[in-house]
Amino acid sequence: MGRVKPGPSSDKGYNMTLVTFFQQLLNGVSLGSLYSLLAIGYTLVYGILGLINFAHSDVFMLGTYFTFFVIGIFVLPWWLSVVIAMGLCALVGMTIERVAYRPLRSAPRISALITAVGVSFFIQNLGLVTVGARPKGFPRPELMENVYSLFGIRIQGVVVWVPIISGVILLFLLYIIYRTKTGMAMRAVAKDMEATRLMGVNVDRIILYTFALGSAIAAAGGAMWAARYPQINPLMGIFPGWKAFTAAVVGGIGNVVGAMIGGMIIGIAEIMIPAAFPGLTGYRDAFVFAILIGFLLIKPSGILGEAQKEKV
Amino acid sequence: MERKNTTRRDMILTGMLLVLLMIGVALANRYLSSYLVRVLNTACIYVVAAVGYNLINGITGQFSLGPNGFMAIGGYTVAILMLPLAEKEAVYFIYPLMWPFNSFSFPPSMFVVALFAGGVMAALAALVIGIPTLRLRGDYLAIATFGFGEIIFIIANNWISLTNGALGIKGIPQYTNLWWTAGLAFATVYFVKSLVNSSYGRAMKAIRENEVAAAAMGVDLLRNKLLAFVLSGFLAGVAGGLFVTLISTVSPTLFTFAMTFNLLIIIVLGGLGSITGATITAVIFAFLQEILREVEAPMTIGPWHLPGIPGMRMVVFSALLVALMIFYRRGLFGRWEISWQQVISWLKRERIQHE
Amino acid sequence: MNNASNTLLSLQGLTMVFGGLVAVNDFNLDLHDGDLVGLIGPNGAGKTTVFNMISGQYIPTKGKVIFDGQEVQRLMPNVITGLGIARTFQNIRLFGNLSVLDNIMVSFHGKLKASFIAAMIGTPGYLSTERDLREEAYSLLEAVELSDVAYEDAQSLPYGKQRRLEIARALATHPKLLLLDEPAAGMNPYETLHLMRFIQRIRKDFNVTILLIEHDMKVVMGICERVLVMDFGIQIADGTPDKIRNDPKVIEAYLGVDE
Ligand SMILES: Nc1ncnc2c1ncn2[C@@H]1O[C@H](COP(=O)(O)OP(=O)(O)O)[C@@H](O)[C@H]1O
Ligand SMILES: [Mg+2]
Repeated sequence: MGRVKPGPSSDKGYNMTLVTFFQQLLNGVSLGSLYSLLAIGYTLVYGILGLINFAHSDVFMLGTYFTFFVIGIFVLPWWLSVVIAMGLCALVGMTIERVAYRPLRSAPRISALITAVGVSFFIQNLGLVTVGARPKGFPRPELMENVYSLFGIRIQGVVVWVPIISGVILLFLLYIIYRTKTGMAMRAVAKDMEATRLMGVNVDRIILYTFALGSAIAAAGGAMWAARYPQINPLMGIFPGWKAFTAAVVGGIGNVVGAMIGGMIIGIAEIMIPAAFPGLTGYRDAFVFAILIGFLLIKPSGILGEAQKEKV
Repeated sequence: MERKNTTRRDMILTGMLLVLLMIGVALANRYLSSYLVRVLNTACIYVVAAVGYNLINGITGQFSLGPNGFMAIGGYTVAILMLPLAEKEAVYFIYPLMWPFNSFSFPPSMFVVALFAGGVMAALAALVIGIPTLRLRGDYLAIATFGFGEIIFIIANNWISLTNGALGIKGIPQYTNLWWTAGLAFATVYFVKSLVNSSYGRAMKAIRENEVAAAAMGVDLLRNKLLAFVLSGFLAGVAGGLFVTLISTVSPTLFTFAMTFNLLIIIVLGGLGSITGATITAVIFAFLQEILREVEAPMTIGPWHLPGIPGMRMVVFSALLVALMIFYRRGLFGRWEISWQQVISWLKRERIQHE
Repeated sequence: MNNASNTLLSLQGLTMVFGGLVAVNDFNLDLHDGDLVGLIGPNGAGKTTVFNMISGQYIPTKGKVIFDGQEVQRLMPNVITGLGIARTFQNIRLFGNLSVLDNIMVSFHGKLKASFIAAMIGTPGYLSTERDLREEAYSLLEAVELSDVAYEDAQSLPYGKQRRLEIARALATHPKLLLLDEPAAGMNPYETLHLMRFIQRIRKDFNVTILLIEHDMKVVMGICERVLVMDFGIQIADGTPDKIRNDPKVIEAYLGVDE
């Protein structure tokens, strides 16, 4: 990072910039952990169905609205509202799979992709029609409002708690995928759906679980996203979703740990590059695009993905 | 040789169709309301963009979500080239327009050159996105083109000395008329149709059907996918140029993802891969959109007063898209293409029945 | 015509590893002009993988593929096809929604001289090229007795004809070497017999060298002069059908797995 050097104008410049650097870095980690949560859902579904689930970003959006309404209507604590929103989003995810994707599983690839785009657009526009385009203010939970001081660096609650909560969720996810029977079945289906079916596994059910899991995690991500950026609207999922898919590609599509790493890279880059080159702040999202194209050119299999050869 | 004669016959019939179209345009200009002419213009622009979009998605089977980005590039290119110098000074009042565009402006006679330039710029962008993504298997094109639309939006908003930022460019002379749009729609259908019926078109369809087999039969996958994608980008660019000179303004929000979505509906409803379908559905869609615009407005039926639900159109369209994919994937026309041979035998049969 | 003893294809130490699985291990083979050689072995032995390395679908982990004196193992599949290697697929891969005639004509595209622009405009020059191609494709279909279904969609053909179309489509690339991957799979004995005659005929008529994978021992033993046997990625025998039939290692490989 070019700007970490001491500034000539101030004798305290070194400390100031170093402090800013760490603040920005933590901020990047916080954003990155949200991209990781969202990227998981993309990578799980892509790993199993080879489908870019465009509607995933809208499930993320629904997560924020569900949380918003549960807090508002039932006056429940934030964390409980998030848990309820996760459950609701899991249902939405399963419904999408069952209604829109399953009938197209053996159809040409492009049909499933078009359907995914259609579902995504449907949810967005239904949102616009029902709750309106005007952003709603999301009540920030107290936890996130706190300001902490670490070695003299002042840090906001969101920056501290988002990565911690995300970390716990990700660990829980890894446990499910690598230590439970369902998780084993998910990995088996991703590797070879037909063989897994022949072994007596109910593949349809496993796919439903996968959607439920990815959607619930996206909902948690959405609720925390709203704590960071407390203006929510029905189109808010589009760009986080696209960046999270990019994160999944960067990490190696289909690879869960890769999605986490990719999310971190995208989050940190998105915060640190404009911080280092303030003149380019308006082009923030363009960096993510550049990273995507760069990876596709140099290492399309991503960081952890292995170059798979289609069986001929 | 008999086959050679059919070729000549088809050319003559195509020429006659062109003449018929010209008569139609002349009549429309004379007798139709300016509102209807405007809808017809939009319909023709949709034909150009949709037939081009169908080439990459329907014929070659590569899922692009890029048309809105390419249309924006074409639109801005034409706007910047055609805007008169005096207007340029007035429009770019925050930041002056960058050199060299502040020093010249195309005369009306060079409108066609500007349209071509708009197409070429969009085609170059397609080339830059296509090379990294189309050599890979999988759907990287979809995700890259989806992001690309956003990048164009960002550039349009931030590169103020070129695009005038969020304010956009107003006062673009209205060069587009039905002659241009109908003529270019005709040309697009003609060129794309003869391409699709050629060896290149067969190679593209082979890629759609089975990439591994296409490569094993000697088809250069990247080259042929790129040809389809770049031509489709070019046509989107031209369509964008036509569009901004029809409505005489361009701004970052003009070509959003909704534009791509409309085109997707058109080619899916028409039958992915059918040029005939894309053409007919594009025209139907332009009119349908106008009708649904009415539906969205508040209305009073007898004693009931219904509030307008703006945006309901898009809900209906997206539900329609999903339903089509699940229940009626072949669309209205499947992969069917109309040909002169069919028209003739159809006419003959009619006559026999009449006699 | 080349000298009959010319080496057309030479595989040298071909090895393919997938993750931890060695699918093909140090495979060697020399094919001469005009050969008709069989490659047999139990399911999963690595036969198809050998084809995939020859035709460029897979890049070998180790080893060389030398065709007509040129190393080809790093070239793209379409380039290799252009040099004169064509193949069929074990699991049929036709262009299902294209007509039978168009399926054949796709194979001419690699050698097409006409430009994209000429094709798009539909210049008289291009249209006459197109007519020539169509006629060439049609006579090829006549030669393989498929001209009666020339205008039907490939996916609507019965199974046996689909297999024949795959071979015809490969022949349309004008190959010197033809790789056939289990062409008799799924056929009844009568169809199989017909196919055996067909292969012998195209070998003569089209003057091609053939490497043939077959699960059905009878086919290979019936028409090949030389047979190679693979098991677990390794070549375990090479010789005349008679010699192979009595080789204890081959009998063990086949008895040990199936049949
Ligand atoms: N693309 C691939 N990825 C992973 N394993 C593969 C791939 N292609 C083939 N294999 C494995 O290599 C082995 C040999 O396969 P194959 O060559 O198809 O055998 P055969 O054609 O002799 O039946 C099998 O175990 C198969 O699963
Ligand atoms: Mg095999």
